[in-house]
Amino acid sequence: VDHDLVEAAQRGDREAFVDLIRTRADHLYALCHRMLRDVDRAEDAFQDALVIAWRDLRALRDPDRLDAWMRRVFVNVCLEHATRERHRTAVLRVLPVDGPAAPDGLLSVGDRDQLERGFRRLPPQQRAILVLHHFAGYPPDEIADLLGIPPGTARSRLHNAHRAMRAALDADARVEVARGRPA
Amino acid sequence: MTQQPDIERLLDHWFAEGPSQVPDRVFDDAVGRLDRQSQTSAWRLRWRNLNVTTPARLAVAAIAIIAVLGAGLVVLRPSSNVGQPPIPTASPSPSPSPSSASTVDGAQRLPISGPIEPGRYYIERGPLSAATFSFTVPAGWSAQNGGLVKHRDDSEREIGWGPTVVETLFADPCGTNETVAIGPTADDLIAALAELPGLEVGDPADITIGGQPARSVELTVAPTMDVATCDPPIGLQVWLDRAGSYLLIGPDLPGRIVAMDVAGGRLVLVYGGRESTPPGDVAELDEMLATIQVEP
Repeated sequence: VDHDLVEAAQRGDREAFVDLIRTRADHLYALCHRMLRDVDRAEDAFQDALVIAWRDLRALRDPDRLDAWMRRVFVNVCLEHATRERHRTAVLRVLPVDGPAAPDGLLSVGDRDQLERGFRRLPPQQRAILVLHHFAGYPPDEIADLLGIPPGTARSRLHNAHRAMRAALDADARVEVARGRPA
Repeated sequence: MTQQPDIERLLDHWFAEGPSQVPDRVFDDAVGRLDRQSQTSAWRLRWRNLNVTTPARLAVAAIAIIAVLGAGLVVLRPSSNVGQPPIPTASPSPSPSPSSASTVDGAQRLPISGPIEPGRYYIERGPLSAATFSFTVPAGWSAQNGGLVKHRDDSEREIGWGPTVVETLFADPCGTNETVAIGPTADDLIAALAELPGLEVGDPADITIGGQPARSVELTVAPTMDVATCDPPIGLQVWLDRAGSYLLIGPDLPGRIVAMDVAGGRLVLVYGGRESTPPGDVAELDEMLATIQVEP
């Protein structure tokens, strides 16, 4: 972390802040996208989070913690957007239409659809934990740190999220079989 | 059945799909919005914004109150009468006016945040304040997180004050999160503060706010206390208020509070600024405090 840039940004230097965020923007945007599963919402959340990070940057006391702090801000804002989404809309079925597909062709269209539906049924906190674990690669203890929850809670939420996703896939498979189509 | 290793592998691959770059227009639009967003003064940042890691969050939370209290002793002495009690004495014998918790004659409710016009405002009893009270705001001040601030875009000059509601103290400000309850009066708070290990509480100064008795105390770290051993290692964590702000006192960052007994309980005010705050702004703050009228 460039301490000078952080300190300049904290003194109100917008260019310094933009320099800081530019190298982190792609990862933070992707994080929001994976949590919200919608390009438009991810873009809105990214913009809101960026403005909030700027507004509250003076709260960052240790420049070495910039990345953790920034990630926390973005995850929180995306969680808020995810909560709003759940209150406002019915479950949507959105298939990924952009970005690279998994390289080994492991996922079928049906898998993606089932994962999408299962994921959207999860509470936002469980969504965040899955994304932080499977997309960002954090172990549960680091997720706990990031979300400000006890490690045990992070572990149990991750376990429950896995179980819920597995149950969602299994339930969808049973429906397909009941309709006379192979799962 | 989808077994656990399978679901984890599926999720790994599924999350790898999707956009990996923020579109330029989205980034540029967000940067454009920064021009319309000022930065929050450190002294009013709230806990929910600061929750990073346990040590880190305490450290960054500290900045909120340390910033205000650290320079407060210097900045907030009455600008025209050094050596007297640090809070100005307001005009006595206020004439009680009919009011309720939600309306104060001749005053507007202070917004939580944002620019405000000069005039008479009030803060309502609630999570931030044990009493409804009004005051006169001169030009150039803004509302911020339930308090008032000037020069909020200039961390070198910013100055502000605001109410807080505190019901417990950390039993050991240097260590654990165990709390001790405190009684309901201003004296209870000051007495409880005096009991905290490592914290030095100055002699309470008897002052008046809006014609009512209040007590002002200065808080410092005891000379024998090594805050490097504390969590966070920068100061003493004194309380977490009802609205989620910590009070931390550092070795070179003393603090000052004013407490007074009111009908609704105990009104506590926290003050702060910077050593570099222009004296004229300090005088404005003094004048503003002298206009405080606590509603019955």
